[in-house]
Amino acid sequence: MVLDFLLPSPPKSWSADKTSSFHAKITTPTKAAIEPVGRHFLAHARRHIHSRTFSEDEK
Amino acid sequence: MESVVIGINFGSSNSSIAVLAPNGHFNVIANADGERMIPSVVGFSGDEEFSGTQALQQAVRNPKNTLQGFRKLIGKKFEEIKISSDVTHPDMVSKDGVPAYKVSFKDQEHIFTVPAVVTKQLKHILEEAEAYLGSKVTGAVLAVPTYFSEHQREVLAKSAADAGINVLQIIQEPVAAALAYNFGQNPAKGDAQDKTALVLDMGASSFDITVLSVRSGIYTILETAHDEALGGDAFTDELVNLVAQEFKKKTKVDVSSNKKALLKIRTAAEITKKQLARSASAPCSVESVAEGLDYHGSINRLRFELASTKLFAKCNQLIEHILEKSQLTAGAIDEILLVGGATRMPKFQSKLRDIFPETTMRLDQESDEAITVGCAAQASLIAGFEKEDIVASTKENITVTPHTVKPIGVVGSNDEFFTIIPNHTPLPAKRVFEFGQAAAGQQEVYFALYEGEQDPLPPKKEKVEKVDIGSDDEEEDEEEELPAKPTYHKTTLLAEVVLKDLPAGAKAGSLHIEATVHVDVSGKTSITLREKKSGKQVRAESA
Ligand SMILES: Nc1ncnc2c1ncn2[C@@H]1O[C@H](COP(=O)(O)OP(=O)(O)OP(=O)(O)O)[C@@H](O)[C@H]1O
Ligand SMILES: [Mg+2]
Repeated sequence: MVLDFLLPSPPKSWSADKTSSFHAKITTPTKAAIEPVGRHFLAHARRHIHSRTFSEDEK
Repeated sequence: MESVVIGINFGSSNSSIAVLAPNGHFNVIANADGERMIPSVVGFSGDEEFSGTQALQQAVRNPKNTLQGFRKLIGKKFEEIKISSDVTHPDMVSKDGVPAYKVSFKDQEHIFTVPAVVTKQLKHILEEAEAYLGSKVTGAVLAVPTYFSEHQREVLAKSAADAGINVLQIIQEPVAAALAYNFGQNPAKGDAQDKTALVLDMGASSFDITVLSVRSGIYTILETAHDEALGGDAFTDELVNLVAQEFKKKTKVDVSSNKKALLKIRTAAEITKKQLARSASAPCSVESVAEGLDYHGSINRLRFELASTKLFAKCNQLIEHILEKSQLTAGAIDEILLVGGATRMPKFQSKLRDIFPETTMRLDQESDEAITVGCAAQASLIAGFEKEDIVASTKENITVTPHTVKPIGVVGSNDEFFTIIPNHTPLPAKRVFEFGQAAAGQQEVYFALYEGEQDPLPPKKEKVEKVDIGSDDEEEDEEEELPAKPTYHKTTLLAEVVLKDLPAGAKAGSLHIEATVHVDVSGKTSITLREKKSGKQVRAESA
């Protein structure tokens, strides 16, 4: 994805020695069911089940 | 032995079978009678037992021994079901609390429970598949409606196993359809990978709607709604009434309470209705409707649509209802996936256009084949896996995952919010995107990540429901606005990251900064900024 706007310079208040600053956590995620179909799901499942056959899935 | 796996759509009125063909496409295969839609009907006549096309063919002659609509009854208790026992329906009894059909067969009364009938139908499907393929079927994926309970799924699985089918997986119908339409599975470069679809499935007996989101190829059902009385059958009923009125006009014979006569008309009306999807009028002929009198006439599509005005309005209401329930504007729906034979009605589609003028309406799949094809696609995906692994992958510890509640994104120069990770995204999630840096010679870039919120929807105008005469509604929506694409504004600053020491002397917009945002299952966020040419990068992670 390419976003069609440009990144600015840091604001004046930004202290020169800092490279990052985290302010808030994202809103607490809610649990929901994903559907167990399709190759993207299988890749997800494979990461959870360390079984032989699933680890063989996809080259 | 080579494994041949199939997809089965066991619908309440039609069943179908699909397989992966050598050319990589999924084919819906025809039964011995040349039909791709195999009626979900079982019948008994004399010493013979029929399924599918042949069972339907003898239905009008032999209604008391012809079983239809049994899929709905799977896993239900006898007390829970409505039975319409009359001259045109078989008798039903309770066998240990399970609904069962009482039929006469081989000069004897026989009782067949619903699961036993389901087994007969599925066995027939399996035999048709094996006859066509010329080999044994090693496994199948089936689909069920979203409102099927766990118990109903179990009863179906057991019936299928009794039919000799190795059930690899039972999946949800709208999700199967989404796979068939390849919804969000492999987005072309530049296409959004995060989308929302409205799956509209109108079969014979019900109208099922699902709001489905896809995030990096993974589906989440956001909302469902269904109306069990709103399906192709209800539309056929309107046509039956029209024909009965015409017949009365011509012959003075009133058949409105003659069930056998209505059943005969129904068979003809069903064919006429399908023809009306393609032409502006269609013939309807019924031999010996009543008192030895035939009916030969033709029905005009507009007339049928007018008679169905209330039904079409109900369809719209259910759609509006689910949008409201899921707090989505029509503009927030990226694609409409049409499923089920009855969505072929031209008026159904033109009414949809009115609600969703901007949405991509997918017509690149036969609507009544989408579920089967999706099942076949899933079957061939998992064919090589061990059964235990497939079962394990559908357990809650794998399918129930945290999802984002609010969109995460960046803000452009005029405060416009660009979503990077939308709401309803299963975690962990990772998105990569690219920017240019701003001013010439700029050697440091600043990146701020926000959480956002959808802007309030414009107040809904009360619409006066006009009686629609089927005249493709051009006058109506003069001053009506298009349904708004949802917009967002920033609410919370999550993180700021600065990438320093960029190559000196670059022209404005000539450096390309790649940003990677990763959110893990607990909501922990990491951000990486990298200048693509120099490889210069910075990575930061929340506590
Ligand atoms: N060309 C058409 N025009 C209008 N209606 C059609 C057309 N083709 C099929 N139908 C209708 O579609 C319905 C059958 O659709 P489908 O095969 O999807 O149902 P099903 O899945 O068996 O039923 P259900 O989803 O209710 O369980 C019937 O009512 C039929 O009349
Ligand atoms: Mg259906």
